[in-house]
Amino acid sequence: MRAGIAGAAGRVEREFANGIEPVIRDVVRSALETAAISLGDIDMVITVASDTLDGMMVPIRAELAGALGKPYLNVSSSAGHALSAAAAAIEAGDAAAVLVVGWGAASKLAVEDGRSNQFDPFYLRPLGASPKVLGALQKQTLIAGGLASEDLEAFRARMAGLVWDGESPAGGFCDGVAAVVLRRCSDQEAGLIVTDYAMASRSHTPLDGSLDPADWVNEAISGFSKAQPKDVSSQGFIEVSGSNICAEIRGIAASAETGLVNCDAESANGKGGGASAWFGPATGLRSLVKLYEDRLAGGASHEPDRGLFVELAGPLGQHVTSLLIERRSMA
Amino acid sequence: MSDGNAVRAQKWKPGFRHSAGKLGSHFIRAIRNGQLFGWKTKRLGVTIPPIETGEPGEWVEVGPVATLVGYASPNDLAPGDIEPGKVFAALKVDGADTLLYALVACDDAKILFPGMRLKAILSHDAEAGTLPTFQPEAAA
Repeated sequence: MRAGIAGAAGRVEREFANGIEPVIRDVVRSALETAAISLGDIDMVITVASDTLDGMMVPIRAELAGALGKPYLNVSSSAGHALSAAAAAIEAGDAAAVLVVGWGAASKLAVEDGRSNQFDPFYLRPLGASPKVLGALQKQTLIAGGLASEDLEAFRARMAGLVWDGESPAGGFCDGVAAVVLRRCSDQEAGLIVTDYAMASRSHTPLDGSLDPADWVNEAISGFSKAQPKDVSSQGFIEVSGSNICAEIRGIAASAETGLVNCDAESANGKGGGASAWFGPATGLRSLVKLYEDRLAGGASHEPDRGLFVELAGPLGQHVTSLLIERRSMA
Repeated sequence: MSDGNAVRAQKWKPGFRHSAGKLGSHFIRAIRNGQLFGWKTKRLGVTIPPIETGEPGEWVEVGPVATLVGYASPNDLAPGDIEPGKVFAALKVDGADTLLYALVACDDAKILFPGMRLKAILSHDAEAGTLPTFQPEAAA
């Protein structure tokens, strides 16, 4: 048994004018509609949301999302961790249909970013450590290692154009909600199948000397247990959702070198990634929703039949989840 | 965010007292005594600041010289993100096995480069911070 992506929906805006709660309800409803099932068919709800980002509102919003009365888990770290938990629950036979829904109102971080409280109070917080400062350190280190700043800026502009039709909001911060319905599929069933998934992680401030996300992505992908080499005639995709633009560009470079999917680095991230529209730990779900909506849901011949979805969460992208997704046709 | 709405800016800065724990307390007291120690364990080697792994370990004196691994360019930061005249950096202290994140006293970040040798500014001040600031060795 494998988990298949049965439905998805999402919305990001620079700022939700009427709050996030009505959007959560709308997005969950839309995701269930695309999966052609009702909330009553869902066995388990997994939310991806952070109380530290959204003011202790996760339990209330989880009920709005449909968790009331069902086995429920909140994963505050990343969309990738939540998707992996959902896939594991399905493979273990604990659930036949899982709703993964995440949200975040990160537009406020453009005004004041309080995430320095994520760093320890003795050594890092007194120095001024924050995701922005760590990101600047990572960027400089990668540039010193050969990454061209012009390539970074060109990539940033391309990603912003894909998500916003122009400039990103300041810092890429926005509000967003996204939901994915995963359903149990037999080995013969057609659909979008999560064939394999694996993770790699480093501490909030990596200790081993490398700040290059490509190393962490390589480690995560090497954790695949079932992946076969790509079919050279296949249509592949790579979508990397990172917490910053450096994480994404290095994640793409590593993903393209794996030989698992037929997609080069230049063709990757057709959905805009995550750094240009970051709304918290659930951000990675948006890319998966877009992949589902735009490229994977139909049956046209040009659609990809195998892709890598890689999510890099944490201030440097040091919490990596990689999913190998295959479109399986009916025999 | 709230164009057109009246706002009242307030700052909330509560004070906290955090315990540094057994290893952290020893480490911080040593710094305030002008010494830099790492905590050596079989699993992680010499860590600075010390990391508790649950296994036996020993204190080893490290530094005060270190090698710069990378730094946050002030061009990518806003004024006030980091204390003026200092640069946020990752460095490898001589004798340690893990990265240390610390500030480097430096007016012009352009002089910094990976591999540059730095030296800790250690003081005998009971009110000193929990980590020493570093400076280019040539200026020490």
